[in-house]
Amino acid sequence: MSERKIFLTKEELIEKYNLNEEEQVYLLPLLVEAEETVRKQVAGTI
Amino acid sequence: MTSLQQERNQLILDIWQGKRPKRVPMQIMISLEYAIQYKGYSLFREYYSPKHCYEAAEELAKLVNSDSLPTNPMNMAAVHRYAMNRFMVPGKDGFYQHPNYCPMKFEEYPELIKDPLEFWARKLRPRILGIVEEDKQFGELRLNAIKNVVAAKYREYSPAELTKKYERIDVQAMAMMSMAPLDYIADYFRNFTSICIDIRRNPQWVLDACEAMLEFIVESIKRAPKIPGKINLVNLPLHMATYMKPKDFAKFYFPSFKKLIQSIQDHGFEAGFFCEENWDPHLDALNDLPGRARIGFEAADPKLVVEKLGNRHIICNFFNTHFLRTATPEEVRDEVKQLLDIVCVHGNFIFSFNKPFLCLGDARMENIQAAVDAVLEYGVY
Amino acid sequence: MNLKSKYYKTWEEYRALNPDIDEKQAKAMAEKMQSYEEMMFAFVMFLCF
Repeated sequence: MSERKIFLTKEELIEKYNLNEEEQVYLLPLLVEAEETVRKQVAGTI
Repeated sequence: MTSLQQERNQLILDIWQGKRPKRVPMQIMISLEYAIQYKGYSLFREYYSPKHCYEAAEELAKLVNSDSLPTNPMNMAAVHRYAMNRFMVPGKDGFYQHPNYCPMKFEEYPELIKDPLEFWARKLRPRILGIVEEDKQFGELRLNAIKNVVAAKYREYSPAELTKKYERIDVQAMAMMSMAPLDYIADYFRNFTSICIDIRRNPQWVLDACEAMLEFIVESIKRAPKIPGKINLVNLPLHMATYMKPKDFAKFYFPSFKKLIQSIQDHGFEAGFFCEENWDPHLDALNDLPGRARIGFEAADPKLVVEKLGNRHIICNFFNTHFLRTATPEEVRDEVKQLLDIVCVHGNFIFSFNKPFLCLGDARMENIQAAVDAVLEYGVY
Repeated sequence: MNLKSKYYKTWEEYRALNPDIDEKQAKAMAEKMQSYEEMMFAFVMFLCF
């Protein structure tokens, strides 16, 4: 398994998780929010 | 608290105190997946929306007059998906299944025995959770992030809201799900088929692993949050026992399980466990457990259970879910009555079906309702 | 605690790994260090469940 990028965009999430059209309605926004949370934590200053 | 809710709570309080309640309490469990489909929603779409899951669970609360909330609106499917959890894999129908995956190698038993936490965290989690495997540095952070995201969405759609609104039992709280030590190894580390071979190949490793896992599980129980004033339950689904010979059960399964039950009680919790498949050969052992536990039976003979256990523990389940698929409401009522005649001897029975329904085809709503009505009518002591 | 893990050290084990800690320091440190150890262990357990 190749190393994961620090942040995946919406389009990259759809491709990586093979999300069908229905899953893009409610599941995708949750995954996007998780990515955003991680980005904020990793990029935030200490 | 309303008087109806108080009445319902009293049924459960009485039964835990060893008193005969006014009538048989009911804890009907209907899966969220069933509720979603019943509402006409999709397992690919609304299943991931807390608002819609809440609506589906509310629909079932309106329809099913069980003492407990029939459907919990919460699900962690988005967490499993984001984590790429190999133990929770969505099928073509959108339903999540636990495949017979074996992340641990036979020769790794000594590592598990030496330090179960290290082995679990460093070796197995990356093999189970794709996100931890492909992001060594931030995988656990990502997992925590998605858990928090989902939990936050459920804040206004919690089961507690529905419980209050529909006046269901709230005196009982599930503190945590746990497992018997051998089941933990069989479910998460090896698998059902491998563990049966391990018992023959190196019995001492399996025994030592059970003891190590016992300590590991006890540490998690110690840290489980308790809700003051409630019956705080640790629930355990029991898996492997019925696949073992009585001699192997006595040697490999029961000793660490018994110690775990003792530890659950020592830490101020109550134990509730579900005996999957037919436990008839192991019923005597249940009398050897400490304290009083809530024991569910999937396929044990109810007559034999009443005869062997008496009023020693709380007993529940038995009623075969399959019956709800094809029978008529009248047949369901008769079946409930027959079961109650057998299991209500000591006043320690909680009515529930022997399996939760998963798919819409598993049970007809009018049959579920007929069963509930029958308990209300025939279950009065 | 009966669980043996590299993620949890008793004060005695910690002391054996850090022989330079004198008696006076040890007296002041023991309780605090053990509580930090407990907190860290609880955090690891939290992540794993």
